[in-house]
Amino acid sequence: MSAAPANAVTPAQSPAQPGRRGRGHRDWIVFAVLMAIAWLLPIWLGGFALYLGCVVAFHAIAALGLQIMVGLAGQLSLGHAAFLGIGAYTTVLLEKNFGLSFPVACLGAVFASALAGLVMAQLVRLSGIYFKIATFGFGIIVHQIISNWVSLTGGTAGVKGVPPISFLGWTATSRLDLFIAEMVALTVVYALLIRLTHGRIGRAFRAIGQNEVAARSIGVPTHRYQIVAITLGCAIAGLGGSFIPHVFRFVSPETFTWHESLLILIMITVGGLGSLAGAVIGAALLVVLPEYLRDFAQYKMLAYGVFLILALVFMPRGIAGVGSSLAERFGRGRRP
Amino acid sequence: MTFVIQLMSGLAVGCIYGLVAIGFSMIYRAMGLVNFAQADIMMIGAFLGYAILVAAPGIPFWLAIIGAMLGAALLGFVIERVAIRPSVARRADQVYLVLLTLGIGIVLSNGARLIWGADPVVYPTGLTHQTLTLAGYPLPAVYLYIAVVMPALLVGLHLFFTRTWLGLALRAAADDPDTAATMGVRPALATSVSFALASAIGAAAGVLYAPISYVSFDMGVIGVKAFAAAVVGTLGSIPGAVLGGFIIGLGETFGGQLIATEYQDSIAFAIMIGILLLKPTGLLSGARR
Amino acid sequence: MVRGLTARRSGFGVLLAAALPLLATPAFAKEIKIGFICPLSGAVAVYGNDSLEAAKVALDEIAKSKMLGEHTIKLVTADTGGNPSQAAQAVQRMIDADEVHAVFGGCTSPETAAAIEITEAAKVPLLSHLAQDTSLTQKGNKYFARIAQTAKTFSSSAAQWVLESRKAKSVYILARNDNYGQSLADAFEEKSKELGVTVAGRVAYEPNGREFKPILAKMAEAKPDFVSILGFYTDTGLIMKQMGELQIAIPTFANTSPAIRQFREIAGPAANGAYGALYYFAGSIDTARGKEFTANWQAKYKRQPTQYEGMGYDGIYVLADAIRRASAAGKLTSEGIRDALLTTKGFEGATGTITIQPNGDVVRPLPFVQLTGDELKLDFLMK
Repeated sequence: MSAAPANAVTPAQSPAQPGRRGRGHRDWIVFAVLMAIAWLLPIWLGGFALYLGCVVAFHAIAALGLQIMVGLAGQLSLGHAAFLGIGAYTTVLLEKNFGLSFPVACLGAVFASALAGLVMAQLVRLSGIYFKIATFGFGIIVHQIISNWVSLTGGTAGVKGVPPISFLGWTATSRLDLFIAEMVALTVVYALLIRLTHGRIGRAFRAIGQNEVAARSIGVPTHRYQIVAITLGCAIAGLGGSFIPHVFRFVSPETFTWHESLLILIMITVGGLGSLAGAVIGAALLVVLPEYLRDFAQYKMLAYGVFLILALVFMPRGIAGVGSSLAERFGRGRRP
Repeated sequence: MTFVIQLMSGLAVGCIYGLVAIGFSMIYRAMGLVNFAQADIMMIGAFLGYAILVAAPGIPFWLAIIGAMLGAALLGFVIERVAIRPSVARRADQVYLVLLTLGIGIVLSNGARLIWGADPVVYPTGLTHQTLTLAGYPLPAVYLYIAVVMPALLVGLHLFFTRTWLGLALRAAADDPDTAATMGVRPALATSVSFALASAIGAAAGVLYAPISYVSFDMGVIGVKAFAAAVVGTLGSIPGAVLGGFIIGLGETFGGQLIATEYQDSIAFAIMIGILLLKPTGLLSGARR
Repeated sequence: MVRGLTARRSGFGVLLAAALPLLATPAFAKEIKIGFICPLSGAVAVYGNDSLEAAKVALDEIAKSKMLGEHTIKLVTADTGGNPSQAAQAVQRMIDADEVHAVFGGCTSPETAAAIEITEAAKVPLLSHLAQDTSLTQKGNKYFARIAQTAKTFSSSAAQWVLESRKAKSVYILARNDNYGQSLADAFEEKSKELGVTVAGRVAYEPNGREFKPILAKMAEAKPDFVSILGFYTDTGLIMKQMGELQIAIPTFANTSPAIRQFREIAGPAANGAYGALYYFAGSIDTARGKEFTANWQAKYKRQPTQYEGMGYDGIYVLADAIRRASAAGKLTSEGIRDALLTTKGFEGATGTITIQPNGDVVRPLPFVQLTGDELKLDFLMK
């Protein structure tokens, strides 16, 4: 890895660096606005918009997890779909084969993904780029296991007949119920992650993400924090994945390919690396936009690629970064 | 007999991985850049070769290789100027550069699909279906060309990096851009040239690979294994790329036969991860770069 | 008795259908929306793009012939990329936002399986023209029909035909390691055993695989009389090419591939003599309808239709015919279309006579071909 120079543009830096308290306030305001929109807009529009809301929500959860890992702690994962897959399959198999209720199955999914993440995190002792490539290999291996372990997962035929989400006698029968369940998870995860980024762990993650060598030299136990960041990111992906069988009513290994890993990476990049709000915005954008450009479906991937390049070249802090610079400009008012 | 065929098959596949891996390693050595678009540049090179063979039927195969290399070099030069330059100039983090090259790869493969279509194409040349026998093993005739090009690349790149002013300048710029600049190396030009060169090498690999199978917009997936090869042999080491290619090629062939063919890809990556756990920066990391 | 009743009712239906155009005023005219889901991008885009082209041709003809009276069909297309989740999302949108009456398509089995989960819940009929997975019609789905034979019927018929006509004593099966290849292989293996043919070996190969020589060397050691390759045309093409390089000259069944030009280009001379079974083979249907279709296609595109074009074309006609009968019965709803679809009987299609059984499976002709030189010859048409 080419040593990152000290003045590298890193995701977590914001141009004006307002006081920590100021930034904290701003994060919560953005949180409130985004969550209000995410809760109310799909419910108000109803119908297919509500369904899209469900698709956005689990992507947003997964993207938040990846944001912590990649945007904050700088641990690029090229196989994140594997952990969505582990979450999705653990949930649906626990529900179908053992009749467990959704929250229990979901906990199992989070645990399984975290465990797999912990295994992968052991590779952090590989330096920089070698670790990134290993995560890619990890994604391939998990995909092949899901596809080939037919007696457990049903193989490439997929799993059908997904039971509805149930919890202490309450059953999510309608799309609205499912949406509410997902949004509760998203809101809680988002809020917890804001707390985390404001605390000691968040600062340590950011220090590693900005300059690993420097962080180690000032006494941050980098490996331990890297392992925590990776495990956390993977566990959150597992939580997002546990909703996939319920949204699509079907799971198959083909949902968890390299393409999906790439999609989530594009979400956090376009939204703004290092920004939690960016992860949510990116997820919403990349799910909703293609639906309104359906007639140009064959150009979709090309457009994603162009988006990704443009975002990196022209707005390295993503949509969230552009938003916060605009907010700052307004905030400064008409000062000369 | 079966063993001989497995061995030869593993070596033949390894050759291809190595050929693509040389491009990965070369660009890493010259720019410190891990270029995930390299395999898609290889794919574009294979299509350029196809376009040449269709436009000028009967053209000698080596001319198609050179034509594709020139075309890809131009493309690489443009890509570097337009997309990579701004980020390198900003000294962006590795994460940015990896994502950026991923984006370039997506644009290239989907652009190729729009230009040449989703269906695979086959080189309209006799070479595609010719074979020659080596040690009782029937080898596609294009390996004759590979047998010439691969050593030429190994020796040529070694001389380039150790003997030519440009090669030395590239290495200097990759190691320490600031010092190199004070010594009169223009880092901007150096990176453009090295990107163009790596693209040309990728195109050569693509054209040489095409007659063995077929050309399609998604053939870049082979680059994933080539990547593993480059990593196993230590990124930045040209002989390491070839060595890594053989290790991955032989490993997945024998592994697939011994364990299960359906896990062949996993085996290739398990080998890679295993080797990295033993030697965290690849097998040739101790050797002088 | 029952038969008499249905006959009379359908006779009445025909009368009504004939009278409809006369009675219908613009107020009666209805725009019937049909969703179309197929991979239009990605590795299996050839299935979707061929199907879509032919579906549009069929719809143009239907509009011109006034087959549906004043009613018109509007196609709402969406790309699945061959990805089941994308298919589920696309179908959900068609049902929720576009309010389609029926959905057409599903080329690969996983995407079709995902689509079924949505259409069943919404009670919207889904007609697939290519999906073969046997289990799709075994789960009691009430709104699903298809016009492609199941993997089981397709592959066991193929096994019976090739093994008997070649008088093979042993067979070696190479199958793509996905649901498509494996379900074909299961049926092929079962039928082989039933016929007393030894299965000398069965290998599942990686869908992304490009180097098959180690597998083929092992296969050659088993000295089978016959080889059966069950996969997509890119893999079957490469496998036959490498069989040629290894000079393994064993007669081979290459699934539906021999009809595909790219297969012949990839495999080169080694493809010569390959056997195949097709959804549809242009020129194999010697009815007036079959001849009319190929003649029109030849006139328009200067070539014969591919099997996917044939299937896409006929699929739309089968659906339109169901809509016509539903309309005649005065039940132009999703449920009415479903009822009509599942009672399709002896429909004279361009690709042969099509009958849909109550569980949604189809009875239709199955052409077997052999590649001789660069020419595909009909060997046998199983009616």
